[in-house]
Amino acid sequence: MKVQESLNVVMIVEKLKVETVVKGMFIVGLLMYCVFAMVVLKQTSVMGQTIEGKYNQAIKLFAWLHMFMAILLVAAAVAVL
Amino acid sequence: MQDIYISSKPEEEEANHKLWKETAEKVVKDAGERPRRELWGAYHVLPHEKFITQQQDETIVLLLRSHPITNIGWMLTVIMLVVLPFLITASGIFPSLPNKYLFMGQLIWLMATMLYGFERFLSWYYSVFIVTNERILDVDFENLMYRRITYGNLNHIEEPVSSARGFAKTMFQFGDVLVQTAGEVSTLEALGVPHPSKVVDIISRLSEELEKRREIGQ
Repeated sequence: MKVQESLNVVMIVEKLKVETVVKGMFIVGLLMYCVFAMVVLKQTSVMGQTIEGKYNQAIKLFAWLHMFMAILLVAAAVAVL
Repeated sequence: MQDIYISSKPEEEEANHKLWKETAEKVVKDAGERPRRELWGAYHVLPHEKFITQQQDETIVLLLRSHPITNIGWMLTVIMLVVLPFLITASGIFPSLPNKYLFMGQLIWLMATMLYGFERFLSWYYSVFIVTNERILDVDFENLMYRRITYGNLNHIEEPVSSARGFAKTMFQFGDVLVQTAGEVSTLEALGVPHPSKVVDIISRLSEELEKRREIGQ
């Protein structure tokens, strides 16, 4: 009985370790995605200056929305996983 | 001391701008065109938009983007990529995977798909070919990390060429415009733009007009 209990504990610890590593990978990946979202934001701003178009404001707004969603996704990964 | 450089007066600049604007309107009219915006801004004659290095006496005559039909490919890809995770989940390929991972995986997949679609749209929207009364600008927004702006003076261009090959191009009246220049960059390209023969006509007329005005010293 004691051997079985010990084995269960080891398995739980192993599972926790794997989950922590997977969670860490998710978060690191999503943080990199946030950096990319910032690049998108910067590029839309630069291109908006290059050509003053009719939809520049809408594009900028969408880029901000995308950035906000990327941050939310990091928060979701921290909370859910 | 004798003046080396005397800047033109604001009234002169204003008059010059007005003159060029009238010339551009005349060229457009002679080419059988009128100020208009069609195909979601892919073909814009005498637009009110501005670009970064636009000079005071410079008027945009044509602002061109690729025909919207050229976006069909990536739009279909986006639709497929949006549907795919739901199909995979419904098929039950990952029965042992905890729901929280499936949920996060789907969210990340959808965000990445949205980014891909947005990047493709930006690439279409910001890749423009601008013809002004003085020069041609080719702005290429290849991707989020790379963009290129090429200029060519109208008085340095050789004969522009248009081509429309293939079923879709003939059907939807779009094609490529190639302008040979005498400058460092040998060719300016407008790929998949609407009404290519009209574009070539307007560029040729503007070039002739510029030549005429240079000859009479304006």
